[in-house]
Amino acid sequence: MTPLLALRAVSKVYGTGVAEVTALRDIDLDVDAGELVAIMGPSGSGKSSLLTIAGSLEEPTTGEVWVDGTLLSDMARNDRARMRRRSIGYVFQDFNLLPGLTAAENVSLPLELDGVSAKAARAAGVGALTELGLGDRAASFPDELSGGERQRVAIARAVVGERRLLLADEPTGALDSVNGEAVMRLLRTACKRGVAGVIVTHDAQLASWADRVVFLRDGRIVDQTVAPAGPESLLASRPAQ
Amino acid sequence: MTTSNGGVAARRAVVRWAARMFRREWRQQLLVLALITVAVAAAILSAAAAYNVTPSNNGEVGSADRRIQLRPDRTSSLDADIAAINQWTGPVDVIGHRPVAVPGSVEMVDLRAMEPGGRLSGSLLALRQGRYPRAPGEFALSDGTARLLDVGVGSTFVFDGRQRTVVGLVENPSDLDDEFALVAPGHADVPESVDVLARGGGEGQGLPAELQSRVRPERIGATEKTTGAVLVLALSTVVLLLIGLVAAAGFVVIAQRRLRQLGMLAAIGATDRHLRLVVLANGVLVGAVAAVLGAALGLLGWVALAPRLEEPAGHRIATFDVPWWVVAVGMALAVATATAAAWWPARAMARVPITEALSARPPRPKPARRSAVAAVLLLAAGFACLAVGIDSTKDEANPALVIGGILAIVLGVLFASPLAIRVLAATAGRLPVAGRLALRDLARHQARSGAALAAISLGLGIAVAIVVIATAAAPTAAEGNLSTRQVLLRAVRSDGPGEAVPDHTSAELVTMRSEVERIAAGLDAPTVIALEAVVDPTSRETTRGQVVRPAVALAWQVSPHTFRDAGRLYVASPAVLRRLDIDPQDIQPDTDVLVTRREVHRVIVPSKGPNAFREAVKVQVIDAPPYSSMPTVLMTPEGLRRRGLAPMAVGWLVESPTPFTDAQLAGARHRAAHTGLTVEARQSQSDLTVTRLAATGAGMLLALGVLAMTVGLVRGESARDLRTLAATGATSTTRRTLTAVTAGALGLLGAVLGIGGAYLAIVAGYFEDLSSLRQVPVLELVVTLLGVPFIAVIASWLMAGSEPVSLARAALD
Repeated sequence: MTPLLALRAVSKVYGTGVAEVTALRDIDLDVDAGELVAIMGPSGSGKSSLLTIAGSLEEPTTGEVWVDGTLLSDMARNDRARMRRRSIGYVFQDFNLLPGLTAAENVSLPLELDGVSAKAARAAGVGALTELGLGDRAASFPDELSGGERQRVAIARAVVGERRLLLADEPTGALDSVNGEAVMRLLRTACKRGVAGVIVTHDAQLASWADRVVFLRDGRIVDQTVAPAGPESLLASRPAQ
Repeated sequence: MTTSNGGVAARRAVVRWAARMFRREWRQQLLVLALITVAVAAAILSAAAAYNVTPSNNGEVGSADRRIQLRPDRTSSLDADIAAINQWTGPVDVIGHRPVAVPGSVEMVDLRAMEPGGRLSGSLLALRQGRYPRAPGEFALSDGTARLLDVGVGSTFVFDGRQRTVVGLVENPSDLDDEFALVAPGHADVPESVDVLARGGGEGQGLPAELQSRVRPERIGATEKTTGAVLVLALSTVVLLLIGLVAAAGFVVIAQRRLRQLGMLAAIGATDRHLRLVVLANGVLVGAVAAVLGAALGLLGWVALAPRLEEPAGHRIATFDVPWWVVAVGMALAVATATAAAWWPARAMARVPITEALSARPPRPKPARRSAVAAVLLLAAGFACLAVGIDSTKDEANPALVIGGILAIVLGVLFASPLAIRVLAATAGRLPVAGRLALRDLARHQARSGAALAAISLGLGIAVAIVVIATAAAPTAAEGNLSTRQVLLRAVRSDGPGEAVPDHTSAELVTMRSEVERIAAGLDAPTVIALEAVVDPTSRETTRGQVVRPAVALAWQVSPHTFRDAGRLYVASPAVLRRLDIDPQDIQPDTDVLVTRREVHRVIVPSKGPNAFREAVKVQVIDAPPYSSMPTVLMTPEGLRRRGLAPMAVGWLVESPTPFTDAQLAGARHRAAHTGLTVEARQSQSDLTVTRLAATGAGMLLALGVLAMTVGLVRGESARDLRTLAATGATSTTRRTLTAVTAGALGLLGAVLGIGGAYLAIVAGYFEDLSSLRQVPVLELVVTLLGVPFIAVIASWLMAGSEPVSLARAALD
């Protein structure tokens, strides 16, 4: 099976001369559809760089990035933007919702940017919000929502449409533990629908929700492991009441 | 089907977001909005005024394009002539004229016979009060005529040998200075001449040959109203272009503020075109709002101004006779200016890498070398264009080169701004920590601080240019018409016969002389010098009811066939020579004229008609004060005799040891008016002073507005540094110092660049006559150079006490 996200010998170097910093060194990583991978590592290990390169927000210095069977370096800027609209959903630690747009408009924005009519996009946006329990907050602006609600809106925006790859950079970093768990549950649910997910986190507890944990240090993958079954798997294995 | 850019739906979504952001953050764009609004309002108001200064119809022929003057006293029949013209051109309007002397006055009144509401002459007559005359013995008067005759509606009196009743007040709406008495046509008032107004008729074919031999149809061109409006519009375009540069700086600031949001947009799949559209849409919105506000403001201003403009324009003005196409073009220009101004920030922001945009880090400053080279080239090109394009000695200019030169210098200053900031930041190493941080932050945020600096420089540069040019145009204390210690009392009424010399009787002169003594008695120990002009004793004429003699003037030869007026010739009396410290013994016996410049001079005697230029006169050069109204062009008594000319009293020069006060001058004018004298004192330079002060104030306000917009942003985004400083023990004084140094540095750099750029442009413009710039407006320059940074430092010190609002907003975002 072709992995949905494939990184081949990816390296990333920032700056030049004495200011040169190597953020990633020869990274090879595959993420299959329906798989949730957690990236862990100390600060400066290259976690966020890996995610931004995987999400086509920046280009690797060397190596190849394949998303859904397409080599990103072969694509023009506009085509990469189209891929971000259609195939890649991004969740940021600090939500990154656009002020001035309601929750529904924020969620439907990628669809509208892709040419879907405002009415149809809004219907899809409200549907995504309703699935995440925010149907009644669809008309609220970001500054009228709590932190947990904002992150749920951000997740709704990341999964709306036919997204195949979900990338989350410390999605629970600005949330309390209850909201953090809820967000992880949502990401897990999305992956169950066949979405490939990659999350960057410092929190081992949250990483336990992933199918696989990848450890980074100094820009290299130093270890990969299959995460122990999370609380949800325990619930899932319990006999029906 | 969708494109890679998402088509209309995507553009609509992006524009909707831009509109929402404009609604949320319009206050931050108030400066740009205000500038464009004021420019549009001023353009529309000025264009409407320029358009309406010219009347819609000719004040003499109305909407006719042909006037044929007939003389009824000829042997031919007036009616037959009119019928022939009618047949030639189609329907005509007929206006009869008969000048009638006003009893007891030299003034004449035009007794005019015409039908109201004529097809061609309708715009030449309007009723203001009462009714039009219908019967013999009735007439309607224009205001001036009613005043002259001292009558009103209902008055009955004998005029032109007939008992008449004033039944109304009328006017010529196309020429308010046209004074006349209207009578009903076809009655007993036989006209002395008749104007037949017609339209069309070709080149004379169809007019009976006999009539063609007697009359000469006069072609009247249509009035051209649009030229003034077009010129105003062209000037407004240049002004808007300059405002566009300030607006670009404003949009850079706004775009930088939204950089993180643009990064978010890009992260969810917006293309470069979408990102550009966000900033461009903001520009279009700002332009559209400013255009609507400016147009409304301009039109309201015009509605208020139009009635007040009628008297100076000399004709009635229809309030809504506005060049609407100019309004539309002005509004379109405002939108185009704002859109064009937003283009560069839009392009720059779309190029910022997504990860850098998301982190809201300022883009890495580009090396200043390239912009420095561009600045030098542009400044040199601008200097060359202005130096070649302006000939200050002949007051001639090539508009294309002038506009090109100004734009090149403005762009040169724009490109020099990043270099100036880098140079300033390089000096930061020796400053205390707050100053060091402030200057280095300016360099870190070079994109916005550079744009803001360019806008500040531009605002101050324009103001300084106006001040320097106004100063160059103003005479020094040693120039002008007279010194502040002199007044010239002319023996002529203020509405007197121009350059001609009134032939006063001895009794009148005695009365005037005693009045001059009385005026002088109210001053501080003055000297009174009687002045005599040179006149032709053989010539005498009547002008405005006064007997006058044409004054003899002197001309100096510029080229073989060109002469310039050297001024009125006065008689070199002993008193005048004493005043000028000239010893009569030093004057050569064969000298005709004493002058201050050594050229070939000729005497002009107006009464000699075509032979006014006589042979060259023998001149002797003297040193005399350069005041233009001082008697410094003098004819010697021997010269008078040799040329057959005569002296005639024209006034008195009164000099005081101390400058005259306004009260003394007002008193002198009051007394002089009662005796038929006219007072000339040093012409006030208050207009230019007001211009200089207004320009300085406006430039400083603009600069401080841009500063406020920029400093708040730079400091707001350096809030983390402030927290770090606070954590290491820095007090609120540090925050105040940081903000004050940021504002002061930008203000000082802006003033230096603005003054430098302005002087570069002006020196280029006056390249062939740099002596005009010897007067330096020191006060205004010092106020600009020190005032802007000083006010910026004080204001930012006072306002930097509280935490920047942008911190709270950043958290919410």
